[in-house]
Amino acid sequence: MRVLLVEDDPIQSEMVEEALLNFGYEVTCAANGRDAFNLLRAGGYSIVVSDWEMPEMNGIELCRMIRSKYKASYIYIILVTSRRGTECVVEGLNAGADDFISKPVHPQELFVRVRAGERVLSLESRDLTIFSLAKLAESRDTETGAHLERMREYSRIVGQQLSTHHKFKDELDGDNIQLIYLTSPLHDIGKVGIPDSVLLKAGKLTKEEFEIMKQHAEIGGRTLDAAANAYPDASFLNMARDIAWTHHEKYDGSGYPHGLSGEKIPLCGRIVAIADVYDALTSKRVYKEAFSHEKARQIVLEGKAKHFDPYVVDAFMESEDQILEISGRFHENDEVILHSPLTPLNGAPTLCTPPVKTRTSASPIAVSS
Amino acid sequence: MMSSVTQNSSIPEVQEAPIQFDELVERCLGKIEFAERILTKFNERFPESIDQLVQSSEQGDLETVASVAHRLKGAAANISAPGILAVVEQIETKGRSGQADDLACCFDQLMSEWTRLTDYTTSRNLAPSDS
Repeated sequence: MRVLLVEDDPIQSEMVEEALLNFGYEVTCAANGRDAFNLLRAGGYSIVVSDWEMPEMNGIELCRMIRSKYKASYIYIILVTSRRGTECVVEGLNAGADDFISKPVHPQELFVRVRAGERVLSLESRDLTIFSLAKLAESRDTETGAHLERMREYSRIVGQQLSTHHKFKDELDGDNIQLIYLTSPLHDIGKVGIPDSVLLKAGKLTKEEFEIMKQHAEIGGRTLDAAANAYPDASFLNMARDIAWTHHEKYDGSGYPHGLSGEKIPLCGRIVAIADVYDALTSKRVYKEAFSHEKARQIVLEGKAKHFDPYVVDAFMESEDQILEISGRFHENDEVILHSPLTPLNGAPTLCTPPVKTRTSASPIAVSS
Repeated sequence: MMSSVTQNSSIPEVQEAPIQFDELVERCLGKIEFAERILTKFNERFPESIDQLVQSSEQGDLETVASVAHRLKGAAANISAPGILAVVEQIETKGRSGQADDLACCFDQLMSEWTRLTDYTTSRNLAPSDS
């Protein structure tokens, strides 16, 4: 990892550079903020360690310039200073610094702070990679609007509600809920292995075609399982694998690909199942209109202990307001049918949002009951 | 060795060694030669800093006095020179608050501390740095 060291004092510069080199980093030195900024334009630096007070452009000004000019990738900034007090911390953080280190710099402290920066940077690329892969897989499936954005929010909401239940509070801690949020978009990544003739068919699938389509759960699960085995420390891959493999399993064992039932289905799979189905029900498809929330809600309730884990259904119902808020927020470019007091008594739904360009998906998988 | 303290100065007495060499070596990752090179570099650059301080003070440019003192403070802290550090901290404070009246005493004290330091480095037979 390349570090840009910005320090006008030659002694401090040499000592910090020596420490960083000793810890295995590539180091480039600049004597002031302006030179540093020019070096940054060439790219390739992920971490900046900068003195606060310097001629021409000080550390605070450099922070502000970096934050305003560099949006494509994140640069982690550590400010080196002998200043003390809350005001200075606030000023530094406000300017965009991520961390501070006091003078005189101790090599071990420098090392752990730079390493903390590396951890933050790796998270940024991980989250971006996960969502990009998911979007890529989804892109073949004609337009699905903000399906991934909605269903990860639904998954998070249901997970958070479920975590308040004593049965799940240990398993669904904050970290796991965040992992479900991050990895649930990968649930259909196996669709990259489904031929266009099936995936992009405009109309209902035949029995044989549906059998092919069902393979996406196995394909996604096996692919992510291989990745998880190759990188056992990457816990998010285990979660992604479980979701991809089991989000079409049903509580009563009538799902696919393995006919798992009850709590043999990983909890993350049980949560994503309800999120995925609800979104499919309330989204327009080639072969159907979007169902109203009321109708989708009824279908979910009827699926309690059959399609869906009863606890998960209860959590879904208890967080209905939040679910509706997400549905409204992310459906703005899709047609949304919401239950409204204006709905005529015969049940014909009323379009509550102005019609815009309709986005449709050919994915038929979620409507089976 | 006791440092001299002038009557009108508020500089505290400093009785420590001019440098905490073990601390410096630790900060230099245990590399004694590197620590010695840093120390030599400090000594070579010091006269320029003291000249800047004196000239700025004579010109009434207390902002530069404070700025140079701040930089010297960082270097002194890095090489673990407590005597020099204490004096430059005082100089920086006086520069920032506009107290020019006893800066000359501070500079005398600073020179005295530096003499102690150079005696120490001479006793270690330190070679000049590459820079």
